[in-house]
Amino acid sequence: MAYTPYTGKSVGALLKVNSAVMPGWKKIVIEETAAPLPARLNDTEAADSAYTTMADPMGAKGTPKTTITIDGLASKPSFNDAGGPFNLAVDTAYAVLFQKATGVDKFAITPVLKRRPRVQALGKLSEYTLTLELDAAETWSAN
Amino acid sequence: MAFTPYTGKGMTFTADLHSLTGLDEVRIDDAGKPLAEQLDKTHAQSTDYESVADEMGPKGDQKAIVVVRCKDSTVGVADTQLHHLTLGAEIVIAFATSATSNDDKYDHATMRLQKRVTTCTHDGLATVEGTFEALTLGTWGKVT
Repeated sequence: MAYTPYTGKSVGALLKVNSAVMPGWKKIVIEETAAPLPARLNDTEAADSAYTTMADPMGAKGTPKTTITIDGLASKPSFNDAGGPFNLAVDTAYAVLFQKATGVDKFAITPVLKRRPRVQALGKLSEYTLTLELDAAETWSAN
Repeated sequence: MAFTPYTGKGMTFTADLHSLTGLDEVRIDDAGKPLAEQLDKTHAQSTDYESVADEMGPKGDQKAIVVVRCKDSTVGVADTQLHHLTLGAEIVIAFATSATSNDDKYDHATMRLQKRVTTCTHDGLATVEGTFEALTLGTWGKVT
């Protein structure tokens, strides 16, 4: 019998990592964080009757950050695919494309693969989690 | 069966003049400056405790935090406008508990979208949560 990879329930959402469709993905979480608000410094003097503040001349700390977490199930053939997403090098940047559905928003970014833990099951499917990060913000665009 | 987007329960939330679809929850947290501290300056000769205002003033500033959560469907066209806002940019928001006159409305002209978390599952459901912050307070008023 020909092998049929587990592909999740098909509803039109598309997730690609390194130009390959992610097999069996169940959930994706995209967390985008802007740079922190500029701090305000206390400028009150002894003679002041009210408290005053001023913008921190050093500006805001930090940079925007994007974290992508992908959870799913994959078969042993998928894990063993040398060209598949589970054999990508950690600490290397790969293109990620997520499209919610045909004709609606999509998110394209090239983050760095930071973690790829996997729970090896005795059955045919194993759980996986991929975490990718980038110290930058990306924009959602209409498909 | 035609897809019917989730549309919330009568609340309206606009960000950058766009109404958000699938509105599910709004949390607004306005916080004032910390109270001024009083320092003890009691001397050995004093018969009672004395205090003085801290010349350094209170720590921190006013802060407004607005968290809005939208439910969405990846299979529909009810595409939330939260995805089209620029992170860190100042925008105008408005939240009304209903369209009825005399009901509450919250406005803020300079909120920054500090965080946006998008969660999608393979069965076609999506949740988008946006966190807005500002170092000034918004104003509550009546729907007009």
